[in-house]
Amino acid sequence: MERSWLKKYLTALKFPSKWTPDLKAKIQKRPFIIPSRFGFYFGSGILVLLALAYTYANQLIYLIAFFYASILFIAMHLTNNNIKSVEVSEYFIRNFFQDELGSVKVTLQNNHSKYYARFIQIEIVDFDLKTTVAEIPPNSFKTVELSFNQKNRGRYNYSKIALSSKFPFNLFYSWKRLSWGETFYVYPAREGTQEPPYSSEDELSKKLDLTSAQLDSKSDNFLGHKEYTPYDNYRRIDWKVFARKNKLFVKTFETESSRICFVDFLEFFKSMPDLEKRIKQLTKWIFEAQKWNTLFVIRSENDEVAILDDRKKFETVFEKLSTLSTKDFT
Amino acid sequence: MSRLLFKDYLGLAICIFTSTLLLFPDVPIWCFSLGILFWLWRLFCHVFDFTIPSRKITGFLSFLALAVILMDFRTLMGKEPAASFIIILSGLKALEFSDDTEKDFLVLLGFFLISSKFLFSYDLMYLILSLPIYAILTMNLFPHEWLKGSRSAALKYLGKVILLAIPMAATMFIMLPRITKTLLEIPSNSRYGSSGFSDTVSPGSISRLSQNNEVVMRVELFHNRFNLSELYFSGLALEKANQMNWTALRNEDGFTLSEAPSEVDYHVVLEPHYKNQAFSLKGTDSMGAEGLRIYRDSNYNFKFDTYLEKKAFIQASLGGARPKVSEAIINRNLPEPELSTLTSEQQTQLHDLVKKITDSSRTPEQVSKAILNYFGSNRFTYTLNPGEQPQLNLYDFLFKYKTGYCEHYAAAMAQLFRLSKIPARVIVGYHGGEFNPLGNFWTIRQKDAHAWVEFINSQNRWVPVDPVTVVAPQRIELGFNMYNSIVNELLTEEEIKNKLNGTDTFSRLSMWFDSVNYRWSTFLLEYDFDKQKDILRRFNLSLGNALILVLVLLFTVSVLINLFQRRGIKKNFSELCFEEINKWATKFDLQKKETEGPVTWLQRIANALPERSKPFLPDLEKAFSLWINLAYKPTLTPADSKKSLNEIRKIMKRG
Repeated sequence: MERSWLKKYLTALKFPSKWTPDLKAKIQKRPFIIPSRFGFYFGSGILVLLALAYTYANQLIYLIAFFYASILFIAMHLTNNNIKSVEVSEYFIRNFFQDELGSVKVTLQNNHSKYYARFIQIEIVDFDLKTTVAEIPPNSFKTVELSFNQKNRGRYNYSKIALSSKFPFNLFYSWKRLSWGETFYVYPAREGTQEPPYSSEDELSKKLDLTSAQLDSKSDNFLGHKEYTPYDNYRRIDWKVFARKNKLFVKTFETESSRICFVDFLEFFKSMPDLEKRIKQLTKWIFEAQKWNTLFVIRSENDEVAILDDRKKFETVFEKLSTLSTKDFT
Repeated sequence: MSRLLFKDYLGLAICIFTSTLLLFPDVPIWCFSLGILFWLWRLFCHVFDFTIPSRKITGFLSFLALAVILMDFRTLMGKEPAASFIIILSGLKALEFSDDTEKDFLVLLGFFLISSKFLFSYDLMYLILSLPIYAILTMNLFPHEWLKGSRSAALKYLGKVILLAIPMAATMFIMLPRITKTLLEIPSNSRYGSSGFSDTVSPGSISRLSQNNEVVMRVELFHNRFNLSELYFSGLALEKANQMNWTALRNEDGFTLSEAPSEVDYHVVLEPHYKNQAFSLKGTDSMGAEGLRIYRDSNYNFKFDTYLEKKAFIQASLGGARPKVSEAIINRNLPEPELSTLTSEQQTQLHDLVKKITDSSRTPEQVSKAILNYFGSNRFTYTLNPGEQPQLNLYDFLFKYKTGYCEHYAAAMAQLFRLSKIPARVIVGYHGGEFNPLGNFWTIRQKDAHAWVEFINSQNRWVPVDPVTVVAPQRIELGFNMYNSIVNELLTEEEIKNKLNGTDTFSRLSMWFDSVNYRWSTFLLEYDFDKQKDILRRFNLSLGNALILVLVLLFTVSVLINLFQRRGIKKNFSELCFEEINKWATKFDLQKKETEGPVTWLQRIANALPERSKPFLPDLEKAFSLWINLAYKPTLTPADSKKSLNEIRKIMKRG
């Protein structure tokens, strides 16, 4: 069993979800263009007109055929340019829980200084999501948000995103695809009927050999300030008071020692007949703890203790739970 | 669902329906009615909210229509069967139309429908009518939501596209080599004899055309000046007489291919009349047309080798004296008319008249004069509406009714010639027309149809003579149109003058339009392979080079379109200033760090700047203050911002 996985994740906090992705991922590919199905019909129509003009030596039909050939030629450029100046400036998928709705946020940017980009279809290829942006004015942005769900927990790569357009005449189909080198997590579902394993602060501090600063439960019931001592939780230093008085004070709260949730990870999973159920149960407990601001403590197998006391740490645990498999216990 | 078409695609529906209506004169009535029937069916479904027929039904109906058309025409290659099929197909498509995605196909059918009109006519009027139809059809290709939301933006967009397409299409039309030889001229029987006159002329058959305003041809004369009274365009020589009915003989008078004229005396733009006659001005000796072969017989009657199904652009020249008529032709034109149906008394009366005519005259010319005198002095009248009288005989006309249209007089005069032993025949064609001073051409319509006589004179040559000149001289001097107005509208003298000079606005307008239409038709007809080569030669281009040039032009346009598109978010003045300063700082490896504000950056630069560059510091500080001002002072006008930017540029250049 990989003993240090939890520690590794807790110490090297790496958060994949960012509102501004790396520049590397934003390389926009050039657009491609082919005639659409109607474009083929239209082109064949022009050929028929030319054949008629040739057969009946009809100059007017020649002129009409040439006119439509010009329209075809212009339409090709218009369709190409319509998509060419559009770029994806933002593509973000927020981590979400299994069996719940997730959202994809895509922002398109029209780089052209003069022309509108119209009827751009956005397709999130792997998730089979499609939508059309009717209009993006020059030098501006349009954001769309699409909902989708995933049946399985795990770490997923951002799907390829395809922008396409047949505007204006539906004669040509122009598209560009771009990959976004990012990942998102589908956290396990929040399910389970078991009560959370609550412990008191004293019990835990004895059991785990922790200071009270470390076991700082997050109650909102503010009592008052007291002067800082090296044994106090440095996170509770009120910097505003420090600015006023030039002395360190810490905030004191009404402690809710009974509301500390403790899970011995290995023990918890040892007794499992069904890994999925356990993961879902643990996710529910951790989520509840985050929601109600309860302290959550996990002990990994090598007796290392992780205290989930901020959002980032919670997220990291959720991410690990998303990718947890039986291999991790063998 | 059935409401979709009429609610959202009314413009499209109107366009396709109008295009169907425009084809009415060119397709068989049953095809046209069937097309309209499908539209009515759709309307019925719409009004009573009935279910529209399924695709299977419409598919079956279209196959059925195809089979019937094939049975009727025996082909699908001709213009008529093709247009008929498109009419029925578009009717069926309109009937089953219920889905947005089918809209484009309906538009495509609309394009075909309106374009197929031009297989039958080049007329500018149709083109003008079809332009808005083309525009609306093209506009319907736009996404429907856009048309619904911002119609004016869509219209503007369409306008720009059309403006771009027109010069491109014109270039391709002029430059791209095209072959205009007709390869597949498939005749279709339904049109034969629908206009003009047939091989037989009977009393009343030409007068029937007197109300027909259809244009037969337009003629542009170059060297010789002709008065209206001299404009006789002969089409058919009728040599076989049966009472007052005259029929053309199938003769073998040495048909030879007419050479293209070396010097062109006049142009004729002949509308399709679905016969093989070519109409030639008196004295024409050669005629030529691109894509058509014209033959002439020894009597200088011109004929096409095929039925004329499209507009023909003919060049012709006038010649000198005609050769003498051969013995065979003389004998062919001598048989006396059959008078056996007349009573003996009537026959005697007729023979007395002929005797009276021949007694006073010895030469054919004198006989001609005597006959004209007889018509002139015996109260013969000219009528525009004689009615159809195919059974009319010579006696009744000469002694009983004494009234008729040109064919009555021509038929009677030619009979009198033959009774006087002088070979004669009836010529049918056109006389006069309307002169268009703006375009300097004559427009000849069906109502100008005319019949006159040719007899063989003492030098054995055909000489034309028109009996109407004595019965109704105004008809010949002023032309049919004016004569008709005078007789029917009882015009005052001033009105006649106005009409003759064409001073009223309506006449001027119609003349102007006719002139433009003529130029348009001639341009299109004339712009054949040879003309194209001529024009390209003027630019020192061969056809192959022209093709390459067009391709290069298209490529260049593509490149230009892509080059001159300004992309990228426009940078504001503050960003531009920053770039200027940062560019300078890069030289000393002192670029701005992500986290740095301008003031800290300036401090860092000031500390790290090498000793020899220190004197530049005050200037740099000034540049920084200008930049900070630009970035954080939103009230700065664009002019001031520009000024600041320029100043920073100057400073950074010095640095």
